[in-house]
Amino acid sequence: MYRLAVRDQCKCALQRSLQTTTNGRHYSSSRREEGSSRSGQGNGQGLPPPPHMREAGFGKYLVLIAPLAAVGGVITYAKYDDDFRKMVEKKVPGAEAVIKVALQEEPPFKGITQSVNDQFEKVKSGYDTVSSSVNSVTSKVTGLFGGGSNSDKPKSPEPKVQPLKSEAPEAKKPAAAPAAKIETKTAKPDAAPAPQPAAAPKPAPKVPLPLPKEVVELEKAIELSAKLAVKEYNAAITVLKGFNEDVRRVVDRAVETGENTLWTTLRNRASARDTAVSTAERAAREAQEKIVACEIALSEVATAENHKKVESVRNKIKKLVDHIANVKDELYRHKDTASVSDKYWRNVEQARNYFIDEIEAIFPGLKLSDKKLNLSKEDLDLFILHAYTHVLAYQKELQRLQTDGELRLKRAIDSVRGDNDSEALRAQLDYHLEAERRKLAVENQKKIFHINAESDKQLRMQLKKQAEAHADHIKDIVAQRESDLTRSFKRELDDKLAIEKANYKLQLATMLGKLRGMDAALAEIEDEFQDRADAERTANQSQALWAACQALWASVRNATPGVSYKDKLRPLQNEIKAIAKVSQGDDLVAAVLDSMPKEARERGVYPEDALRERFLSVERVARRLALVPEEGASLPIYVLSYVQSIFIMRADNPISTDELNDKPFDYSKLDTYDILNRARYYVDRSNFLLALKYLNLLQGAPRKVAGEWMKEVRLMLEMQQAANTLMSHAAASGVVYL
Amino acid sequence: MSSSCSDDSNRESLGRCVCDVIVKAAGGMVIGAGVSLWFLRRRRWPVWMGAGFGVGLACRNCEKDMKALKWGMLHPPSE
Repeated sequence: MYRLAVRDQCKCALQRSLQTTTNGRHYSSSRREEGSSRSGQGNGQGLPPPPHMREAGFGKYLVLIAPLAAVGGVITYAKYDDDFRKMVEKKVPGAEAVIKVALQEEPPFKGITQSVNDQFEKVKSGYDTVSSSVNSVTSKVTGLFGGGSNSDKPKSPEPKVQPLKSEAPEAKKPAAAPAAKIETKTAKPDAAPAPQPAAAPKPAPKVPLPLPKEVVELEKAIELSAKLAVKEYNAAITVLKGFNEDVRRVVDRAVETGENTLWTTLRNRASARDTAVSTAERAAREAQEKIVACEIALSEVATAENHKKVESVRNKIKKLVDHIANVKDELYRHKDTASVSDKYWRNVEQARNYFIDEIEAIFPGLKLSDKKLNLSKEDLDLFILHAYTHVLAYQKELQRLQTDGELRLKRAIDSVRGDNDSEALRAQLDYHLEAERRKLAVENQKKIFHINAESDKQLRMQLKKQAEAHADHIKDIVAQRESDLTRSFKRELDDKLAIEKANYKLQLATMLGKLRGMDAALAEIEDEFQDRADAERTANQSQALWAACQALWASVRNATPGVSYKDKLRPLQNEIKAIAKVSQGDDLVAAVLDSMPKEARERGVYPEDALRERFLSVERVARRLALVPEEGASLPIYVLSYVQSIFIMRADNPISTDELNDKPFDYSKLDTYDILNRARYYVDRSNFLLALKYLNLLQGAPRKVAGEWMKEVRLMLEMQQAANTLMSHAAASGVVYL
Repeated sequence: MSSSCSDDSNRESLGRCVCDVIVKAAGGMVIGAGVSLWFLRRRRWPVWMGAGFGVGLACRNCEKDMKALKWGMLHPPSE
């Protein structure tokens, strides 16, 4: 620099001025040189140029000393001449301080402030690190769907259906052994066991016993033999009797049913009877012979001493003989009857055979042994006709015989009249009787038939009636029973039904009661909820108001980051409208909203951070124009001011603690830089009010420069105040609902 | 809005000043050179004088600019 200065000596004034102005315009803030030297340098411009130096060596010193000498001269002169001093102070900015210092009126470096490198701060405030919020999306882990398919699988083991053991239908076939229809031979003769011929006494070979000589023995023998004979005779009689009965029975049955086999049995019986009879007879004869022999012997043995015995024996013998004879007679009688019966059944058999033959002649191929006669109608008629003709023939015959018989009988009786023939009479009577009996029998038969038919009919009718009656009775009983049962069942049913109904009603009643209770509870709850809703609504309203106020406050406070403060102006109409909407009927809010400046509403308000940003530049300009008065000044003053601002450093503590503690101080003593520092301090701490207050103390051009900013700040503060009021009001109204 | 901002207008006017100075100085120099060339037998001092004149003009303008700014004009009048 000094070299240049030296060189400048040779140049003309213009060149020099050109260089100095160029130098003066350097804004390198890195230079931190003493203001006094700079001002000294600056002062050099206004002072007359130093004397022309030709000698280089002396020139150096001259250059060095000349400004100092000049400054010293000025100061000295100013000390003595106040007018001059005043002029210097006026013209040269900062001369006051220098003079004062030089004249030791004040201590040096008073009010030197240090500067903070606001360039960096400016840059710093420009950016906001956008911290990317990590949105960690937590994947919701859904529970296992279905919670473990524990869906009960259908039990695999199905209910084992007991295989219905189809019990082999023990339908045992009804061992209905086909009841072999035993063709009961109905005509089975359940006759008494065929009387077997009694153990035919073996005809013991008659060995002529040595006749006992003793009477007793004789007696015994006789008795024995007699007994034997009697027994035999009796046996024979029984046999005969049995036989007769059998015959009769068999014949009757045979006639009815027509069995041929019976005849054979009869025949067998007959033969058996014959044998039995013969044996019996033989035995009897033997016994008789024996008796006779014994009698002879007895008579031989008869002596005088056993005459009584013999007599008794003889009597006994006689008795026995008589007995035997009686029995024999009886036997013979039976035999007769047997022969009669024999004849009878033989006749019957014959007739039957005859009948069979006739039938076979008429209906060839028909067997009477068949149970059923499958005759056609015509055949049957023919048969009936045939039979009837026979019957008629027989009847005629019978009549004829009867009449003939009567005649003959009469003739016979007449011929044999005079006899005491009770026998003949009896026979005749018998004969007549027989005739009568026959007639009667026929009639009886007819009657019987008639009666049979009648009775049959009667029986049928009665049966029918009875059946009807029974049926009716049964019906009645059944009906009654039915009614009884139905009644009883109905009663049971009704009872059960009543019980169930009662149960059901009970359940319904309980349910109804529960429902009613629930209903009441719900109504209560509803009311509660209604109240709650109302309270919440008002609370919400206050909350909304608060939120709107908050919005307003936020928009007043700061706006979108990262945007230049010029673009941060936002009309607050929306927020204000929102508040107005939310707080209808609230007077305070309305008043506050009205009080808001129009400009804020329409144009918007710079938020705090914008203002802060702006303040930085305002401060810088104000610093630069610190020396310039309000109306403007000549260019040199401007230049000086710039230069000064370069050299004025930013203070470390812009405000003394005394001021911070609100101790009274004389604020008119503050100069621009002080004021700016303090304003900066408060702006940094967002205390715009105080900053504003300090800036209000500015004078001159800086005031002009800060004027706009101050206006904006004022606006912002107003809005803030309004927003604060509203917010506190909202908060207060919200507190009510806590 | 940007121009109404004091700092920016200040800066703007400053820039304008500088431009002004340069331009006028150059113009002055040119005129001086011309004068020296054609009228003053190639002396160097007219060039500088011309430059000086130019700078002086520029300064005046600058001053006016600055002053105008102070009165709160939104658009400080350009030269």
